[in-house]
Amino acid sequence: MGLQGTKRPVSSASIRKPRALSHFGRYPLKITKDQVEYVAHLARLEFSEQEKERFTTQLNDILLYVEKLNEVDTTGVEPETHAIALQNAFRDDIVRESLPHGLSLANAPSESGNCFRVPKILE
Amino acid sequence: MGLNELTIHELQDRIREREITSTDIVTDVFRRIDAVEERVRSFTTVMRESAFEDANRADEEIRKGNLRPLTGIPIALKDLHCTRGVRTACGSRILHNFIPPYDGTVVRKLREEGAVFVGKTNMDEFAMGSSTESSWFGVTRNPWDLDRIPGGSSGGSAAALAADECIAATGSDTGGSIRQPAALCGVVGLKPTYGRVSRYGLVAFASSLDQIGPFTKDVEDAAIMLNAIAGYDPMESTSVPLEVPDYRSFLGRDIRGFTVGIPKEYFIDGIDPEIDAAVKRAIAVIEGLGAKSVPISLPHTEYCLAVYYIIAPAEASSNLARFDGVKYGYRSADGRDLLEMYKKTRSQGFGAEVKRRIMIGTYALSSGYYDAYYKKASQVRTLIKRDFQEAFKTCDVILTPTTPTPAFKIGEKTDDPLQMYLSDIFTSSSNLAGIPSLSVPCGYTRAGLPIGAQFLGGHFQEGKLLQVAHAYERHSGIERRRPKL
Repeated sequence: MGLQGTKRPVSSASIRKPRALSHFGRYPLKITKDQVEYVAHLARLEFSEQEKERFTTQLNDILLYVEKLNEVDTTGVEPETHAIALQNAFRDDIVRESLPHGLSLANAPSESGNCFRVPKILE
Repeated sequence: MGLNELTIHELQDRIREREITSTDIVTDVFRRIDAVEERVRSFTTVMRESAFEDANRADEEIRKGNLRPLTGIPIALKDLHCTRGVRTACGSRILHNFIPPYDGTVVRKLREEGAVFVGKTNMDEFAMGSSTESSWFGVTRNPWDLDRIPGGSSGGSAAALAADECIAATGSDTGGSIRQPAALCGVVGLKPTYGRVSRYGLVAFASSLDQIGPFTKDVEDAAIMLNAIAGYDPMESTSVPLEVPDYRSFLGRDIRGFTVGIPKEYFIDGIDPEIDAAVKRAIAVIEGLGAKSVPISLPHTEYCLAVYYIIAPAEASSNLARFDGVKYGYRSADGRDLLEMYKKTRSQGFGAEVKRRIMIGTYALSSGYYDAYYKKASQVRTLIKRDFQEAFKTCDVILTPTTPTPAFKIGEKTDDPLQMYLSDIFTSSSNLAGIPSLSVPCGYTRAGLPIGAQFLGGHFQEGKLLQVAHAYERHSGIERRRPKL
């Protein structure tokens, strides 16, 4: 039980790290270094070469581990998004007190007038 | 014995009798902080000056006879509650200089109930972790053994409480971040039902899982804290408009005739034998009180962690998109244009574990992978929730170990993310199902490390949970120890 019943890569009898065999070529890579670079761009992150290598290995391990969900038959099962079902939470459209400009800008790394200041967006 | 070693209800009694003042308590708390904080490192911000001002105000109210449930009680806040005028850094460089302009709802409510704030406690960066090692502010140590982790992500709150540096503390729990450190530090930790406590002003990690709850020295204090923070909040649309009962009124009630479910999936090979034995002794104690234990099955238990480690990073990758160096927090000076500024700010501002989870989440939500990961995980989540619905047809509460092992050594799992994730193996199910659960001390290992037992209940059944845990605590026969610091 617990972590049992999985064919790979988790050892069946104990809570141990799934053996990361992906980079030995035994299992197909779930994510390649190219994909890591692409996803990093989507997430607005950048990595050194060394970090990319490490992330590729670690993300592969994790993605291999979560593959065990494929053992579960979910045909016709509704996805759960919130544990407690709530209808849309509407409220009356009434103007309430909000943060004044000065306080809203107080934490800004850079500001100008009543605006947040950022580096140039277009050439 | 310093006043800092007492519980909320013990202090309340003595305040009511005018034997002590809030200033007396706060004085003892800061004496303790001065003595041990250098070794434990529970706090990221210590609020000494404002705490004594709060205490003065509390003493004024006490003199007038205006006693609220938490009047004059020193409480530590996890450093992800927005606190007006006090830095809220969330264990991250990217928020290291963020001073919120408002109080979160829980902070406001605690203030209104008379609490004195001692400081902001250390945590894994953005609450992502099980050891409080990933904080930009350094590692917090377990007061029971300074070479070990206090658990996480709310490790600072658990350690501060176990070290008697506060009377109670708050935490947040997305996959076990209250219950796991509570178990490893030998205190009570409660994760309420999803929607029971408002998260307005809480830095968001995974919005369908996050919940705020208390760390306390005993179960009665947990009821007092939940009374103070529970309830609907128009500022938080997932908070549930249900009446809040007086949770204290459940305490001391008989548990004769209760049915306690023991899920076989939580007693597996690989859990520490001393933990297994301690939790089985707890089952015997409960039976001795007239409750009946029944074996149950939660067949999808083995999938909880995999579901959790898709859903939580996916939601985190979206929530953490807001940290872009524009409105608040750290900004890298290296970016020549906006895109480069975003990338450099986020890459320099976030630590490795946060980046890892943003990457997993972004990948799982990216075009072509959504169905295979997020949708699949959400479907299995439905099945996990159904397991509990079935179980609660036949039992009042469920009893399990909180963690598979006692506190591990600092550095033991930092290079191995998956091994670290397995710390949440018994706790993430409650978040996925949205049910309340509570960790209560149930013994010590031979080496003297605390062990926790976890009680789980149906939605909004916190009263029943507290009732059973309180009965257990009173009759467990476990001596109350304090860490030697």
